[in-house]
Amino acid sequence: MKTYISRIIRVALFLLGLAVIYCALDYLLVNDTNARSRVTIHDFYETEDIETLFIGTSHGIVSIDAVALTERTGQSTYNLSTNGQCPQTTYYLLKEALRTHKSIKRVICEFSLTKLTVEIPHQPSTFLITDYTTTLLPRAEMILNQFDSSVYVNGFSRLRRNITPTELPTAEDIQTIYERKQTEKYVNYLGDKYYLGRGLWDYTTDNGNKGEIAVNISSSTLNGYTIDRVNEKPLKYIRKIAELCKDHDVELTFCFLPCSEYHLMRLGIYEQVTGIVKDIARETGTPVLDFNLVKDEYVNYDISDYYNSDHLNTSKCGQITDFLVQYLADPDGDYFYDTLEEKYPFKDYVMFAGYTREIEEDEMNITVSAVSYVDIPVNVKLCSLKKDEEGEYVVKKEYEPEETDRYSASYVLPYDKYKTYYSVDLCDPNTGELLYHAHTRFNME
Amino acid sequence: MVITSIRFLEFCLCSVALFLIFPPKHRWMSLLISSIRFYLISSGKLVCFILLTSVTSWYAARMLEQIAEKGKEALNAPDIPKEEKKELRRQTAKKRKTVVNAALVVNIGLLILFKVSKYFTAAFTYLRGLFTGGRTGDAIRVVVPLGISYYTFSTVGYLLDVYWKRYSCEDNFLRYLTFAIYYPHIIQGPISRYNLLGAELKKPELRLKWNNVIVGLESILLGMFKKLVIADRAAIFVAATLKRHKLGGWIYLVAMILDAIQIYTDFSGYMDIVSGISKIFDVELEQNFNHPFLSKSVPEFWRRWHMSLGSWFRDYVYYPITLSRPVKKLNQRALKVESVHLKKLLSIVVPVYVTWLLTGLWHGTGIGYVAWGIYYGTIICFSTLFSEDIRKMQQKLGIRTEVFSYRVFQTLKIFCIFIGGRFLGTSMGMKHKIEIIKRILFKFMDFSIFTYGLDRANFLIILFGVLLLIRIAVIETKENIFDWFNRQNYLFCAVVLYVLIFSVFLLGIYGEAYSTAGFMYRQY
Repeated sequence: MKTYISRIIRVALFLLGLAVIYCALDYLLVNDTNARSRVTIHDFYETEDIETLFIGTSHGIVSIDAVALTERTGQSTYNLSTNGQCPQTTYYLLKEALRTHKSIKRVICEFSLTKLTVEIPHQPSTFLITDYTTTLLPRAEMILNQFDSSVYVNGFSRLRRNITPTELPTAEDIQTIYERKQTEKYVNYLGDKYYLGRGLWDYTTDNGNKGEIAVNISSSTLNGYTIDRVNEKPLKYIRKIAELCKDHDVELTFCFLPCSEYHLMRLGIYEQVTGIVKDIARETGTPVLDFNLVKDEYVNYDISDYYNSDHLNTSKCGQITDFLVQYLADPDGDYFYDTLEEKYPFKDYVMFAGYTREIEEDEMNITVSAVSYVDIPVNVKLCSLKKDEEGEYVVKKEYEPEETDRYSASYVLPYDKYKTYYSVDLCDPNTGELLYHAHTRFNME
Repeated sequence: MVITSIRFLEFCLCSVALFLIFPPKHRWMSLLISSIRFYLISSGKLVCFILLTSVTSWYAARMLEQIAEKGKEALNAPDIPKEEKKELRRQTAKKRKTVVNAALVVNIGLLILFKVSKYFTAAFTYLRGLFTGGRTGDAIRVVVPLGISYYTFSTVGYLLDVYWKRYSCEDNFLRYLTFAIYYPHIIQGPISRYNLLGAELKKPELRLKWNNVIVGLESILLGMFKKLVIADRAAIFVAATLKRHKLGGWIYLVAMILDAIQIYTDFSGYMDIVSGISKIFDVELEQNFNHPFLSKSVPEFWRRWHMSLGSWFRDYVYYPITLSRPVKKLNQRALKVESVHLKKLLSIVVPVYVTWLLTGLWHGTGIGYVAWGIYYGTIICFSTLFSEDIRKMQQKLGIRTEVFSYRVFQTLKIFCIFIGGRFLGTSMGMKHKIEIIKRILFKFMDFSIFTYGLDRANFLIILFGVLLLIRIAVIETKENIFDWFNRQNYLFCAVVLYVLIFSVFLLGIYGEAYSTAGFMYRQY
């Protein structure tokens, strides 16, 4: 008996030591000092009596102001949006939310169209959620149900995930992480200056466009996006979300946040794809809040409202909030057009600045052109920008193109990990008239 | 299913649970069920081949015993003339030989068929291309049954042992099948002997014992450290350099050293893991590595490296050849030769070269493996021929052979010979091998070793790992490392285990950016 007890004690002590060392290494080696979802999810757990929950993707992070909605509707609202959520992960996060906040009466669930093609959730986006949900079971449920066993170690251990075994952290890295974790901001989950409360983050204003957007046309997000790529798995989870809300006696609304005309133009099949979700909505008796069909008198979009082609600038929150207040008070109002054509009547001349980007060591090869329904000949002027004393962007240097043709110009720019802002001017080659102007860092989209 | 994967861990946990469900007397059945399940998961329908091998060898062994018993009964009958007895013995021997040959043809034939299948498929694809105007289509791929080299040798060894009457055959087919298909050893060995592993599996009771579990887990941890921290880390550098052209000689040399470290830690790490798993089930697997780089000679090296393969070839190839009539005749002729060295050479050359050629071919059928076999055969012949001369020369020169410095020299010598053999046996073309040698000799200067996937810190990790293994080897000259370790104070043990656990966890090459690479000897 004595031996038996002694063994149990030894094993217990050993496991305890293992846990302590693991936690210590996690603290010293995992740099989550800038993790938004850490603050968002913690703030969510701390906020009591939430009645309206907005849950969705990065589109929601920058454009749903739950603080303002709480003040104006009198109903405690929270924005539980995280980067890269897909219906599969939204389901589990919502399940956890409904478990911890029995007060929730209404859920607005936003979907990103590109996430409807995803069969297996994006790992980093999923781990943004699982790292910060407090109980093991929902975390385990999400990881075990969505991934195969080869992902389990990384899924359950952010310590392992944050270490590249062949590129080990240095003593300086460890010291930096430790110091940052001692700050009040980290200890008290305060978020940085971009956190506006209740899940809203404004990383667009300081970093956002002062003009129209330039879009990365080499980005694979929309390349080859067809109706065939819409995957059954996310649709299955959308139905599960509806069922979950029904079981919890919670009002559910599906939502699509606005995309720029450029995004809609490239997508080409917006109504077909949203139509699939709207069919599910009809089956399950769920209303749909489609911001891309909202009537102009309620919300009107200009290209300068966008941070990139499918994320609004946070400055647009005000109008979004105004509309949501009205909508939540009276969901049955006549707010929506029936078709996208009514919202965006076809213009034979819609144009954006587009670029392709290739990075080679410490240089970027950028080719700029006009993007539209037809090829548009342009002269391109590209300048790097800097902030003046008043914080306004001014021209720092104009770049000469390496190559030009009627429709585009190619440049070799220093690769500075996306920090420099550039202005892109597209001009009519005959008259010199400015056709399009954009501010961009060459990382948009 | 790679044994360092999460999937295998899940499988093992299920095996342990199944093991505990069965009563101790019948737990071997749970191992049989788990092993069949493992084989089905890993190889699917190819399980039919291991079943075929098991059935033929088991049945043939039973027939051998039955024929021997009948023969014995007939001989014991009263009043049989001497001539008739002689004829009976001859008939019995002939029948037994027919049975054993038939079984060997089936089992070894299957092994050879799968080993050379890639040549047939390549030829078929080529011929198909000739008849279809150059359109070869998809290459035909023959999937080789998991562990065929290992289980074939195990079952053939059993069959021959019964034939040579070393022990009786196993009457219970299921117990025999458990031995043949036992999953910890099926992938990469050891090549088990029925009288050893079979005896373990036939113990009256198999119990989950505290000490076995502790030692088993420690062994698994050590194996994971060797494989994931050292072997797979070294593999990054080796993969980035050895097959590339026009690198500095120093780079190639470092790559060859790391390649040797990689294969040792990969293979011995695997052995530690499967031994540990088996230990948890109260089943001892045979030792397969005994710190080979501490050897004093090449023959000793091969008694310490992949011991089960070496002893198999010794018992089932080398000795039978040595005792065969043609070789005996050769030995008798050799006695008439005056030169001592020639006498020795004639007596060993055939069995040594045949054994080593077959050993090379066991690893693979390419010309590299043949060269490897000839390489070691030659070294062993020389070692045997001139050992006495070398000893006399050392005495004359006053070289002390019992001192530490000489032991270091021996280790380095063995290591260099091993690297040479590895180099010879690799699948790189001859042209590239010659280029590497030229670069080592004439274009040595290129010290940019930290630009091929491993930085300074990673080399230090490999060095730390190697030093740890050297320390373990030194301890094991006197006692088993786990016995030594578990006698130490609790705090010391805990610290060492924590270091190993977190090394594997944080420094192991697996996960998101890497898949757990398969073990190298699995291909054989």
